[in-house]
This record gives sequence, structure tokens and C-alpha cells, in this order.
Amino acid sequence: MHNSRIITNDFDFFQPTSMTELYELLADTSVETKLMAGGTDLIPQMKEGRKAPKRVISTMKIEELACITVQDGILKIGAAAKLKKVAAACSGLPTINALHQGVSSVGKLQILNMATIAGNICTASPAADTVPGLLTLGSSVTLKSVNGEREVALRDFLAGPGKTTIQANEVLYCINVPLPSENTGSEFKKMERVGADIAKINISVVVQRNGNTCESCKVAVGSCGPTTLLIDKVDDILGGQEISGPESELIQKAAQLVADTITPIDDIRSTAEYRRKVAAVIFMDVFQIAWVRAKGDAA
Amino acid sequence: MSEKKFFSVGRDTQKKDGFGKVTGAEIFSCDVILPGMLFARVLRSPHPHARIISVDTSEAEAMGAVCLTYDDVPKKVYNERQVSIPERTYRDRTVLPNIIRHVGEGVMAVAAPTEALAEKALATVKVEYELLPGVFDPVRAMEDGCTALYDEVMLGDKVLPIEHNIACQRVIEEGDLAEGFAKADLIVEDSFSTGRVYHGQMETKGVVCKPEADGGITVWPTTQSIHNTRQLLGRIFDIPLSKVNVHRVTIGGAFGSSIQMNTPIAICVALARKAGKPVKLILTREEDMYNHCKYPSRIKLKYGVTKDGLITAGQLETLVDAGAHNIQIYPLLGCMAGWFVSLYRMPALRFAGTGVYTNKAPACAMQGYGNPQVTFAVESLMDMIADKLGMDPIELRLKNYVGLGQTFWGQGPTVRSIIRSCGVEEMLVKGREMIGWDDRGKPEEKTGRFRRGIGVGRGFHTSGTGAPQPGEVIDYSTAMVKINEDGSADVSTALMCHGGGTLDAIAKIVGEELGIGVELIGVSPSSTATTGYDVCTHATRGIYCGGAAALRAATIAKKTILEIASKLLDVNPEALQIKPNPVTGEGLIFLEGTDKQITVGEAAKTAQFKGWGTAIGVSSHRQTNCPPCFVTNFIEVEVDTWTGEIRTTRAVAAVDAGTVMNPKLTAGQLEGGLCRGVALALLEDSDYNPETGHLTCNAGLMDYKMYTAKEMPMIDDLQVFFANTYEPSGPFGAKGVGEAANNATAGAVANAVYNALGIRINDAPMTPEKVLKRIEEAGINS
Repeated sequence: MHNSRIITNDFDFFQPTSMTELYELLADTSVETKLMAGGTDLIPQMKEGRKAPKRVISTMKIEELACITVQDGILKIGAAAKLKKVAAACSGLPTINALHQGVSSVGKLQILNMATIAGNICTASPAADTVPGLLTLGSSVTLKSVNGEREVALRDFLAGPGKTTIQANEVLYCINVPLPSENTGSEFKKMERVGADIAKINISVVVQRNGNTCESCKVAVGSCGPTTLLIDKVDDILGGQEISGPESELIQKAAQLVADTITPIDDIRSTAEYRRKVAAVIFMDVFQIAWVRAKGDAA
Repeated sequence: MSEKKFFSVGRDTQKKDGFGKVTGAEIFSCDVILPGMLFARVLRSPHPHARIISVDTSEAEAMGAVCLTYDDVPKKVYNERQVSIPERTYRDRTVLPNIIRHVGEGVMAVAAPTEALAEKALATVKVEYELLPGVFDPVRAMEDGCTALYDEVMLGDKVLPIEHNIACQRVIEEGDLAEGFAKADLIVEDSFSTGRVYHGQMETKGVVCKPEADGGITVWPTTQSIHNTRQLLGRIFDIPLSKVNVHRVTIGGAFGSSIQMNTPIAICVALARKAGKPVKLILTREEDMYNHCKYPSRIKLKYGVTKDGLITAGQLETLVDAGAHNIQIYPLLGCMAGWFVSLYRMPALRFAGTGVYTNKAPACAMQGYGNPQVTFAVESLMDMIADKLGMDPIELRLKNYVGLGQTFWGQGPTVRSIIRSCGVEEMLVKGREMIGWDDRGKPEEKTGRFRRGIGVGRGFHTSGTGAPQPGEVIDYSTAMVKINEDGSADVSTALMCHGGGTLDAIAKIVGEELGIGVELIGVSPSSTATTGYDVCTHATRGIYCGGAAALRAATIAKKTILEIASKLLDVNPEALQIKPNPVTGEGLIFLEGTDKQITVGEAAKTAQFKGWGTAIGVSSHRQTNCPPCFVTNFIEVEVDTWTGEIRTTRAVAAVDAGTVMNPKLTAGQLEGGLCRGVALALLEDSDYNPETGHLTCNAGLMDYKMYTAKEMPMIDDLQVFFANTYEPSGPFGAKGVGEAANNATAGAVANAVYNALGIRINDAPMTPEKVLKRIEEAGINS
């Protein structure tokens, strides 16, 4: 039985203050290294003996990594920005409400004050609460290394449970969230056993609306597959269609598609069967709110 | 009906340990640091059932660790719980075992200068096991040919063979059952079950032990009974009690988890004695979760009633999963019978209970001690009867409840006394009004996705286990009160405060009696060397039993100080009274109608100068009653019929605690009890993997979930009130509160869910997954 109170393995701890310093540290690939942002996942994993790196490099002292800016209609969230700050930045942007809700629901205050958005993404948990919002908003990540930088769509970055396409010498630098047009509404909902839990299922919907016509509908479902699933086919059903009501046949068809597309499993938090059943319900709930939100600015 | 006016009792006062706790200054077991202290870690078995063939500690020893194995420990067979008399105490374990009976059971232990080193040393220990088949299902455990956990255990001083893994069975009967059921117009029966709930106390179990130069030991443990811990350590390690000193250390919550002398204490003592150095052993959360849980129980309940709603007979059968050790099945079954018989009158009854060994962490007392489980069944079935009779559930309860003047034996058949205070009717009538009972509607009238329902649940707990006759459970307390030379006073007892304010209440009782403000009453640090015996702070007995001893000690000290004052004032001591200064709390001794007066401080100081001695009182006292503290919960839930999720939207929680010592703390107890009770109904359980015997929640709070404020009704929607009662046998009219707060809730939730949906769910917890399935089966949304 592990000892969750202490970390028993010895490791070196580094806190670089610039990207250059960070690249230098990452250049040494001879020892097992873990990058740590808020540490809210890594530290418990090290206590439980599931991870035993020889070096831990913290990104917390690199100021530029914590910046949040809006440039050319793109919200750029620095990888090491604390979730509390990210939530605050999102709260003034009504069209990305789903992201605000997802970020705020990761945990209670202690977690929000420590955890970062890059951490939530790079842990690559299928249940990550920031991811559905980011995916439905079409976000990308900027990866930097001593060799330069590249931008990767988030959906291509997430490769499986605990897996991303980041290279060993790379650092997730920032997340780029294109701010949608004003006729957009978004909503996120998470079902959990108790407040501040890991999701049984979480869903984000982003809808673009023109009068009663749904121009597009992006849906992402978490905790129901190896990664958060971006379900494009919903847009095939709803895109360009007139929406007659929140429980209309079309919406029910889309909801059924969501339930049929996800690949949930039985685990400690819920069952595959239950997740399938409620996925349709939550999708309809979330769509309805996003739809109403979109109206205000579209009219 | 309180006729007395109190100056301290019944008022909200600052909790004496409040500042220490919120500033982090309070010392808990894990904060105790001694020079040269080593840190201990215990190697936990990954197997549910295995014989230990060999333990190789050579590498750990080479690393400088002190190692403790089965070969090193005394072989005395013990039971960590010491509340029953010896003839009724089942003993089945040693400090470390040679046979492992559950995952997480301690195999061996190490101590080293740092915890990290201890952990590393532990990793080098090699254990050879002979694996034995695991038994996890209590029904399967009783079948012929099932692997036996024990061939025999000890009952008192006698060897008791164990057959079919049955740890203990009890049958309790009164009246003519056949006749009772024959008289019934309606017989209703059903089966109920509750989950394997973990205590979830904030502080995990822990201990520090210092071996003394004279062969004795000093111990700082998490415990609810320092004296039982002392006695058991003395017996196991063969040390005279005068050389075993157990300190009372502030405990970070208990819920019953430290009623017994917990197993890490004996391991730590053995390590410290072997090392010749102080040793600290603090369980991790994972270890704590594999240490104890609430008794999961299956209950079959049957009532016979007349068409007018009078109960003619009742029968309850229960199967209790004891886990790997029999900590207290015998008294538990007696109490479960008591919980069953004490809510509603039954001319004839039968109780049959069986406790079964399985290869799981041992169950022990937890908040209610079988009462929430039994009352969940009783209160659910009462509503089912009311439904079948077409009677209002509240009317049915008012017709049948056990009340004033009636015999009550909540703590089992040997703990009988007469009820002398009862707020049952007041709580039902007032609560009915507050929740809006008459507008709750019928399930068949409710439509739509979100459906609300209101349910009622009654409950009670005993105030201790006292009774006119000495029974099978030990119950008495000792207290010492002395008046200091400045007019303040100290009270010394071995009682514990688990967070609910027991010791504050003791200070109030003493202050009230002495005529001194509670701010001038000090609660002395205590240890077994400096206090008389107190059985345990359990069974909701702190205020009623412990407080009664403190009151008697205060009365003696008061008599002495009045005698001193009478000499100084030249009046008869019986004519003198004491009242506190409303600002300073200082006691003023006075002769009514005259100007003869002297402060308590002046009297005490003068007595010191004159050499007249200290005004001091000691009392060792057993309460000869065991009054019920009744509770009533009204709960409103909202069910999302599309997802099966249940929210608690409103609640009224009422208690009949006699005189309430500290209203805010009592309200807090009721709210906390309600929260845990709702979780028993809806959330908490800890499954075992039937293949490996491991907890499926991985023994962590990441996946063992508990409710917090977030799942409770909003603050204005949660109302609390106290019945206006006065218990003549209690200190200043007080009864208990603690465990009662939890007992009514699960039944009220089940009844509210029924009122919302017309679906009765008898197997707690009612998870959304389960509820949605039942909704679909009932075709509610189609």
C-alpha cells in the first residue's frame, strides 16, 4: 500500500526563470524528467508511486508562460496560467462561456489556485474539464522547443489516455482560442458524483445561430472515450437546419447520435450504460442553453 | 419543559478549543514530537487471506530500521474494544497476525529516523505467503464447505469454536409473536440494505509512544477512551497500569472510529519497546480506509398492524458483515434489537441477528452503531404501511411511538429505563407545519422531468448506556472539580471531545453549578494517571453521563467553598448562594436579603492563607437511566427523472435533547448528521473487488466520495429546531445529541423519493445509476 503522505523517491527539482533556461534543462534527455506546472496531478502520482521522475522541472517561475492576452481575435492563454486566472479572463467573454464553466469546474479553490490549463491538457485525461470547451471552440496549442515552434490543433494533440503528441524537448507554450462571432452561444455541463469531482461525463456545445437556423454546432464529450471526443457528425444533422424547439425531433436525433458515438466504459465513477443514457439528456440540456445564449447577439 | 433559568447552559458561547483549532496551534497526535523519535510504517498485506510463512527483514535492518514481526510481539489474543464486560468480549487478534485476514492488515512494521527511510526499508522486506481463498460475501461465508477465517476465537476466558464463519448470533423475543401476527389485519414486510460506509474522520488514526526508563510507557493516541487504551496496553504488554500513562490528545473527528484501542497503537508500542526510543505511527488515508468501516447490514423487516394502524407484532432479521475481526458484534446485535423495538410499540416481537466473518476490513461502531441501518428499514416500512392503510404517515407514527412513561431499551435488552422526557409529538407537529407537509401531494399526481417529494423520518439515540442494573456494557464516568485561589475552577475528566463540544458542555455544567462563568472554567489536560476511569466517549453519552459526574463533583466543591464562606461570613452554609458577575463571570457568594457577601476567589484565597484546604470535589458516577434523544427529519428531494440524480432541496431537522447546552453547536450536530445521513441514503459505499479483496475505490478520497456543504440545501432551506423538553435525570435537564442527528435521515430520504416518484428504493445508496434504472422499469417517463 502506497504512502500518500510523502514522496519517497529522490529527485532533483529545478525552477527555471526563462524559456532559454528551460530549453537548456530539457536538452539533457539522459535522465527521466517531468515538467510540472501546478503539480496537482503530478504530486499525487509521485506520492502514489505511479510516477518516479529523477528530475522535476517547474514552469512556475517563467513569467511569460503565465500571460493571458487577446491578439487578433484569439485568446492566448499562457500554459502556466492558473485556472483561477484563466476563469477570470474568460468571464468577460460571453461567447466562450463553455470554457469558463469547464475551467471553473476542475476543482475547488485550492485546485484552481494551483492547477494550470496546460497541466489539464498535458495530463491528457479523457475527463479533463477544460478540454471539451477548448475543442468545441477550435483551439490549438503552440509548442516550443530550442529548435523553434509549431502550432497543432488540440484535437490532434490529444492522442489517448495520458498521451499527447508533444516531443520530449518540447514545451506547451500557450493555448490559442479563436473567439467566435457574436451570434455564438456555448455551454458546458459536467455530471459528477459530488461537487468538485472528476467528471462522470462532461459535454460542451458551441452553437452559431442565425435567427432560428443553426449555422453550426460543435459538440465535445469527455469521460466517454480514450480522449475527449469531438463529434463532428452532429453538425451534419443540425448545421444549416431550422430549430423548432428544444426537444424537437432534430435535436433528439442529434442527441441520439451523441449517445451512439461515444465509447464509454464502466469505471469507479459510473457505468458505460448510464453514461450513454445521460449523454443524450445532457446534450439536449446543454444545447438548449447554448442556443438561447446565441440568440441574444444574433437577433 | 425547562423551568429553571440558566446563566451559562443553553447560551451560545465561544468554543474553548476554537482558536487553537483554526490557528493550527492545537496539538493532535501527529503533532507530538519527542527527542530521538523514530517514524514507523506498517507493511500491509496485498492479499485478503494468507498464512505468513516467512518475513525477511535483513535488508531493512541493514538500512538501520527497527523491524517488528509476529515473532516479536506478545501473543495475547485481544479485542480492541473494551466496553463490554469480559464474559461478553470476543477476542480474535494479536498485535501482529500470523494469518492475514483482509487486504491492508498489518504484516510487520518498521521504525526509522525518517518516514521516508521507514518507507524505503519497508520496500525491502520480503514476505512469503501461503495464499488462502478469500471469502467476501457474508451469505456465501455461511455455506457448507466455505473456507473458514477462524477455527476458534476466545469469548471471555473460554475457547469458542467458530462454525460457518458465524462470529455471533442473537435472538431476542418478547410476547407471543404468532398471536401478534394473527391479530393483524395487514402484514407488511420487505428487505433493506445499507452500504459499507467509511468513517471519513478528518484525522487518520495515529499514535506516539515513549518507552520509559522504568519499563513503563507513555502514549499519545487518537482515541475516544484513554482508560480502555491504558488497560488493554497494560494487559497485552504485561505492564502495571501505574506505569502506563495515556494522554488525552485532541482528536480530529471520530464518528466512532476510535471507540476501540486502534490496532496501530499496539503496533507502535511494541516497536517503541523494541527500539528503546519514542516512535510515531500515523496512518495514511489508505491505511485508515482499510482499518475500519460502518457495519453494512441486510435487514428483513415485518410488521403486523390492525386496520386502525396499531402495530400488533414486529420481526426483524439482520445479517451483518463483520469483516475480518469481531470487534463488537454481540453488543451491536443487542443494540440493533434495541433500535428496532424503541421507535414503535410492539406487543410481540422477534429479533434475530447474525454477524459473519468475511475477508474484508473489520466493521466497527460508526455514528449510530447500527441505528441508521435499522431506522432506515423501520421508517421506510412505516410509510409503506401508511400507504397501504391509506393513512397519513405522521398519524401512523403518532399512534405507535414509544413515549413518556414507557419502557425504553434502546441500548439492548439489559439497558432498560423509563422515558421521562419526550418531544416526539412536538417535533412531528411543528415540523409538519415548517416543511409544508400537507401540500406535498401524492406521487401519482406528479408529472414532468423534475419531481419533488417530501418525506418524514423519525429516529433517536440513547444518552449513554446507563441503567438501574449493571448490564453487559460498562458505563460510568469520573470527574474532579477544584476551585482555584482566584475564583476560577478546573474540571478534569477523561472524556473526549470529538468536535461536537462535549468538553465545553462539561465546563458549562460545572460553571452553572458553581455559579461561575464558563469563561473561568478550565478544562484540564488529562491523562490516565491523573483522572479516574471513564468508559469511553461514545453512545452519545458525553453530556448525559460524563456531565452528570462533573455535576456531582462540582456540587461537592461548591459545598466546600460555601462552608469556607460560611465561616468567613458567620452564617449557615446552607443559606448561601452563588451567582456569577455577568461581566467578569466571577462567582459571588451571598446571603439573600443581606449585605453579607464574598467572592468565590476571596473565599478560596483566604482558605489557602488560613490553611483550610482546597475546595475540591471528585465523583465517579453511573447514570441509572438511559433516556432517548429523539430526532425527526423532514426532507424534500428533487429527482431528475431523466438522469436519476437526486438533490436535497429542503430539510427540517429537529431534536429532543432536553436542555440544549450550546444551541449553535447542537444545530451544527444536526446539520452534520443530516449531511451524513443523506449520504448514507444516496452516496456512500465502499465496494470490494470480489476477486482480489481490494477496495474498488483504491482506498482514497479521490474515489471514496462524501458530501460537503455543496450537496446540502441552501442555508435558508435547512431549518433546525429543538423540542422544549427537560430530562429530569440529566445534568440541568440535558440528554445527548451526537449520534441521534444521523439516525432519522436515510428513512426520510427514501420516503421523500417515494413521494416524488412512487418508487420505493430499499437498497442504499440510491445512486443515479440505480435510480434511473428503477425509473425506467417503472415506466415513469414513457
